Amino acid sequence: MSWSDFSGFLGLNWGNVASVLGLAVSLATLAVASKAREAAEAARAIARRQSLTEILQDGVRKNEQVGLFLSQRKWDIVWLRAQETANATSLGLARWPQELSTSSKDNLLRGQQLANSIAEVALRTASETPTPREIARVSQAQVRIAQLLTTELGESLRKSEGGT
Amino acid sequence: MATEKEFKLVEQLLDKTRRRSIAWEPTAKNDEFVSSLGGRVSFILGAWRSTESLTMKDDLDRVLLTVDSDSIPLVSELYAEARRVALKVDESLDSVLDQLGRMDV
Repeated sequence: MSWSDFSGFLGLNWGNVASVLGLAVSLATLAVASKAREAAEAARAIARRQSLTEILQDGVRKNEQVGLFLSQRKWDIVWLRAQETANATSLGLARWPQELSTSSKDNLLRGQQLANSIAEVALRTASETPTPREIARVSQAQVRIAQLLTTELGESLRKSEGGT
Repeated sequence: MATEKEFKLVEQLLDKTRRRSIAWEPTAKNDEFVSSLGGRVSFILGAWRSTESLTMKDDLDRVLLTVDSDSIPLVSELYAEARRVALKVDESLDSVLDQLGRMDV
């Protein structure tokens, strides 16, 4: 086809050519927008995962302090830190449910209730001195919370680093 | 007065606990055990004097319901079974029986 034939074709079919070109541009724009949306969602997921990791790190730290102050028999701080540990698990469950598997949520729920039970025992010490058995139970609960939260922190870090 | 659904819940929990489908663990409080289900709710079993109670809480730690052995006697059985699981009574018994068995040799 010569240039003059092509010009003639364009002159006769300019409307159809414009429509096809418009369609191609629309499809390309749609593809780019779709990729951009996927990238934005991936970025949001990374940010959510990062926030969850930070809250779990906070929970692990607060629970470590429960153990530290328990060894020093500073019950008022044990009460405070146990409550903060429970709050960290509640926050994780409430704000990032889509980032957590069912078993992870179960672990956090158990950690939450174990931390609550430590806080209740610590609160009671204001009126009665805890027995060695009670202190042993609090210590065991603190260790169990550490296991649960560390497992979830590890899982969250693994997913942050691209694991599935 | 406990509702039919609450009776059913206790029955189901007891059945699953007996089958060891639900794990219970001791809390920091004496005679209290905790479990969770489906990543949505936690259960707390406790004993006060001669009454056992079951509390169900949501993920925000809000109490959804509490039933006790006075209204549903099966709660006592659930408590006993959960205690057995949480304190690993069967494992301890197996170990003791194994040790006793080896003493005869």
